[in-house]
Amino acid sequence: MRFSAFNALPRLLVFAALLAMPWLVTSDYYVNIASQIVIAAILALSLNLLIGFGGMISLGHAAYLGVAAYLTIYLTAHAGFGHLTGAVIAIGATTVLAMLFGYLALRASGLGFLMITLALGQILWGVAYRWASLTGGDNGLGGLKRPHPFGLDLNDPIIFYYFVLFFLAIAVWCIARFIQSGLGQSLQGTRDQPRRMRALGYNVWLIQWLSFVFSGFWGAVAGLLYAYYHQFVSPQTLHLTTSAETLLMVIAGGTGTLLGPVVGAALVVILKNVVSAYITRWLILLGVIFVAIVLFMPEGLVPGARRALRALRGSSRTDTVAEASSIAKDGA
Amino acid sequence: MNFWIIQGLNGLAFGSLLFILASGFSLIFGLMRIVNLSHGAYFMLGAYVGLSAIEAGVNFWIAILIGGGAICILGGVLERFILRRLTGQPLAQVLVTLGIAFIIADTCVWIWTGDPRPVPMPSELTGAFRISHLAFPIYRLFVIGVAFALAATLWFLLERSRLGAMIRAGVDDLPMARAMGIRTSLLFTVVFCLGSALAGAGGVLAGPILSVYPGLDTDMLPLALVVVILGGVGSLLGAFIGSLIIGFIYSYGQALFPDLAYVILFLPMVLVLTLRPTGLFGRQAI
Amino acid sequence: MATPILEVTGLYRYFGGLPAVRDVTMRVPAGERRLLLGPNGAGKTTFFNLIAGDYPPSQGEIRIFGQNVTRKSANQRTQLGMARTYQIITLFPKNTLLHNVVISLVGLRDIRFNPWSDLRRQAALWDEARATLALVGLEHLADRTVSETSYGERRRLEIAMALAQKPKLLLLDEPLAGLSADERQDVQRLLQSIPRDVTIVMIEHDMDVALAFADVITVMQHGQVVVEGSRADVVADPKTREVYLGH
Repeated sequence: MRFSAFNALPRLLVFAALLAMPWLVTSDYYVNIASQIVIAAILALSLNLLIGFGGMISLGHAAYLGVAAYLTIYLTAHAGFGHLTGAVIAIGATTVLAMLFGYLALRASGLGFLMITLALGQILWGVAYRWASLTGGDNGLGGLKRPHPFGLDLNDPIIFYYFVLFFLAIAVWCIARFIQSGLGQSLQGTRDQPRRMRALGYNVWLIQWLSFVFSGFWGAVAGLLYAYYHQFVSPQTLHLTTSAETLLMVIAGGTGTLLGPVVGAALVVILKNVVSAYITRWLILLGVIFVAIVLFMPEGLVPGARRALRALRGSSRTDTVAEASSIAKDGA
Repeated sequence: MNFWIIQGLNGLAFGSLLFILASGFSLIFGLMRIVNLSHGAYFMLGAYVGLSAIEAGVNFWIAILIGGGAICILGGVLERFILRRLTGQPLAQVLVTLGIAFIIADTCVWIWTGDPRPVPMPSELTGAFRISHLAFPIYRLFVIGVAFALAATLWFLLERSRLGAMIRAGVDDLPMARAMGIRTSLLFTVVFCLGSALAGAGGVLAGPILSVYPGLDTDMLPLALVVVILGGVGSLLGAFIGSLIIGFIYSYGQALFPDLAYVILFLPMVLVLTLRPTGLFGRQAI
Repeated sequence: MATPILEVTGLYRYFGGLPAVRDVTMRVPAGERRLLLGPNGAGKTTFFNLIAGDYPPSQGEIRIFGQNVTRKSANQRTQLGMARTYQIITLFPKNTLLHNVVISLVGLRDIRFNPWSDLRRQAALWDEARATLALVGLEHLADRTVSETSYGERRRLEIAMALAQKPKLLLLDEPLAGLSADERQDVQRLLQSIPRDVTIVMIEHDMDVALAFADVITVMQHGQVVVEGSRADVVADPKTREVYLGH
């Protein structure tokens, strides 16, 4: 990934748009949707670490969102912890969970990895659903009051929006650094040539596991913000559909790009809110989009748009388009 | 003592239903390397179709054929017209089956609403079977019998028939099977239809025990995955033993630790992945 | 006698009950150029993969630099000072040549676990990679992506990635496969320029090149060692003829 004005421009535009969002829209309703997008973007970015840069397709990423959200609400609203302590424990414990899940899922690769992540994700859904004495079961868990960090009133939608945007900025920064770091580059090597990487002295398993845990950590951060935003969490947060929506954000936006998951998150959240306003059949649409993207646009929106732009500018470097891996071509 | 026997039979019955679902899933995965995430949705849709047939006055046994047949056709169409286009792209195939699972699930809510619907039992199998002071529903014994008969039939089909020889050759080494002149294209469709039909018919059969409700698909699908991870890829014996293990754990767990039954269900998978990643009867890691 | 660089004792490997490697014993002292010969399916590449640690042997022992590595993973063996190339070129096609060599360098450095430092700013690494490319005559292509290079250039890059790690033991799996006559000479010259403190075990089919290069030759057939000895010994041995010409 080379840095050039051409590559940086869309990123700057997206961030300018995100910063200016509260002035661009007219009502709190839209500011709230923007907050949802930002939280979803953090989650999608973390999943993209696995999918785009590690070639590991996880169908259990809702686990980190949901567990961190449940823990946050349980600890602060029901177990009497302070906001800071609650947040630290929630993120720490969820990261430990990612260590365990990573250990299990990385016993396999490709399709096996996908099956195990799905199964592990559904366990947590089952726990949340059936262990009603702790989780409130189907009714979910609520009662959380938004914190007032540094005297900021997070009940104000605009302040809350900038609060989560701050976290997104940190996430993007850390993940961008990760991608260019020794570990991130090693991860991309294990995605493309695991056998060669082993012969070059890399412990492929350890590199994938560390990346898995890093991804789980950012998923947990998204879960914390999710809990603050909704002040409520239910088993639905842990359900396969949440994992699938996150996956859709990543592949719709384009795997293996920094910007793609953010665009994908915006797309899915907006679509979901718009559709839910008119009809109740969001799941059918989700399914149709999945099928359509895989069949007709496997590389995702951002790489597709980038290629179209390149073609418009008459660039001859066609082969660099392949730098973002297409979901469809990643073998198992 | 009675508790253990009754719960054991319940576990056997649930394991039997699971086997009907998981055997098809395992066959498809083993031969075609397709993780069919629609499989749970096939099961649920089959049950709904069967229910509607029964409500329209059709006999229970015919309803099983209708449910299985409908899903068989659906599976065949999806295999031919969508999955076939994505040959060699296993992850794309998985995502498509996931999308289809959502479409089916939501369509079911649309048509059959969100309320759980019990499927009426065939009148000839109502009532309980009694030995001294133990009573056990005849229908559950029947389901257990069906699963064992199915296991025997599938075993015979795989190990003794020409079709089975072709399937085994395909599971072991697909390019080699192709080179030997096996028409893998047709074989794939046949196996996918067979697996789908089993899921659909299994759904109808499960109806009187589990009822049909939105979410039945995502309740059952992870269990099928666990059975395959547990038993080993493409192994019929693995799917059978795996199903029974999960059936027993589900039944006893539900009765002894109702809060945690769902977690306990996954413990064997965790153990197998840690100690033997090929699964109990598999030869290759998943 | 000094500890051999590579010492293999009674090595077996079965695939589904069939032996691919049977009772192979081999000692390669420091600095030697060892050549493995044999028809296709003789088990040479399986033997290579066993030494490299791609999979464990069914039976037997492997020692490199005097250390028992039979149960050690491929990456652990590489950390000890072993490097290999592949018969089927295994590179990172979307990255530049320079980047490929950097990946190879990073494999032996702790920065591979660092999630924060920007690899692009590690000037010393990139300089070293450039120097390695110069060694194999690819410096002028350093910033091209692999997909833009010729087959012969990729072969040389394969070797450069192994040499970058400054191995004490180098395993070359058919480094000349698929090359034109000119390219062969280039690669041959490159191989001859490798200093003698690197011990080399090589599989090669091109007899002229291979014979000129090797100190000791091991001929394999059906997973077993048939003949072993100096160039003259092996060429003179009737069993060599048998292996190559049929009975």
